[in-house]
Amino acid sequence: MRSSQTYDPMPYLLLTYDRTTEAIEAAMLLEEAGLTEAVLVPRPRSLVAGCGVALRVPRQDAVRAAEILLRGGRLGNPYLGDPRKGWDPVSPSELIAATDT
Amino acid sequence: METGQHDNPTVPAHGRQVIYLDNAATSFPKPAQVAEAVSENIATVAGSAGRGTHTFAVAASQLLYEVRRAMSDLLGTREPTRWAITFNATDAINMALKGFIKPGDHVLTTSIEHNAVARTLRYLEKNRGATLTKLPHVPGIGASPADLPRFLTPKTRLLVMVHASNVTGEIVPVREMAAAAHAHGLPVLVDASQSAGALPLEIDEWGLDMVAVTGHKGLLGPQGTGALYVRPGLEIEPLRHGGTGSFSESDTHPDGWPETMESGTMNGPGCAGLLAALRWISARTVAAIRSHEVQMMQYLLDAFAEIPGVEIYGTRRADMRAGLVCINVADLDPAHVAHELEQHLILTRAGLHCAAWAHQAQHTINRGAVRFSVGPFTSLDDVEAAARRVAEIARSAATFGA
Repeated sequence: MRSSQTYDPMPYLLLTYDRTTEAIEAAMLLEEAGLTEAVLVPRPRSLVAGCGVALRVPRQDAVRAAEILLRGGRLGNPYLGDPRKGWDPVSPSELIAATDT
Repeated sequence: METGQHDNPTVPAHGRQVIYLDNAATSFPKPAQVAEAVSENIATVAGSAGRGTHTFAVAASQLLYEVRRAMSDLLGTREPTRWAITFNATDAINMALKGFIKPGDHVLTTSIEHNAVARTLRYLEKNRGATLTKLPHVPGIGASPADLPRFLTPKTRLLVMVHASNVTGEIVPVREMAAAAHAHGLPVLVDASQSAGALPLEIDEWGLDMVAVTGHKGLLGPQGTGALYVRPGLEIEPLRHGGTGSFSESDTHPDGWPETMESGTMNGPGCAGLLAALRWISARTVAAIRSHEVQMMQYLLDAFAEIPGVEIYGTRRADMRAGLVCINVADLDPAHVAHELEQHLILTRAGLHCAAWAHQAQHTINRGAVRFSVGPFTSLDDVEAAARRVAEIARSAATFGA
């Protein structure tokens, strides 16, 4: 069990998209589900995708967000990481396993 | 120069009460929320959709998405992202036809199409080697699904049809036409300029493959807005190429709806107004709007039918036509009738209404007609006043000769 005091090296789930409309749809899906901490941010240059915005979700909401977005067909390309340290690609199943600890 | 020297009594001065019966050209008035939304957007949103990631740009992208979703909900589609936002229905029709028709294709269409379809098809005929056949005019419904099979050729690739004619008011049975077309593997494009927001329209349920709408008529939004729906699985070439806000490092135009169809900065303020209008219609319901317009139209039709010398084109049953009617009065020039009406601040439209084919079908191609068209804000007082003035004009023509 992760303690709230424990340093989390990958505090965010980041989702990139090829089209702005997909990112907007994804953000609206999460907003409608009450995940108000999810925000649209500039896509990091290091991650290649068509659309310049990415959706950033705090780790504590990551599983629920991933489930909602998978269901809505708007998971995009998921990464775990930190804006200052970088991002690692993650598959949906890895994401749920990695977060559900 | 004295104040008022250039006042023209035929042009309604600002603030004067106008009876507006030209809703088929553009709806007026709009719900108050529409102008408020346009104004608020200009005053508060600086972003261009898909361009940049600051708050304003994201808000602009969100607005476009909300328009797609509201359009999708109102007109019965499952996939909001298959709605491309356009500048009007003509734009949408050009996108659909030029994006879908290939050299050598044969296109079936109706005899009551607006020039938006007619001229684009003639262009494709002349410049892209397409061929076209107009289905015979069937009075009352414009075209019949029963006629479809005998005009099919091995090269027929699309059926294009208006949902409601802006001239005859005929409502084409697009659902039955689409079913007949699909039986032969033919997709359909529907021009819903005159029907969206005013008549029932269920795109997915009726199996319509492509639908073009304008934002400023029955949808009650600002001019300079429109949309094209293309069902998932049916692909068309974009009409315009350029910046889409995606894959900016590449000089190749990206695929993927809706951005692939929307190069260039969109009409953000117009979309804000359109969204407010779509929400107003959803709250009011298309059924309630239709019911009101049928009542207003039935009053007009009944009143016109009582006036000696007035010729009504098409059915006298308001529930069988869109919210408009063309008439002529005695032998008077329709332009004169419209001008006389305008003296009493009643605004109608005389002429050929950008639809030569429909006037041919209605047998008014040489003369034109005066068109009266109602909207959700048309009142009984409005139609009573219009009918009274038409009666006076007809009486005067009978007394003094035309």
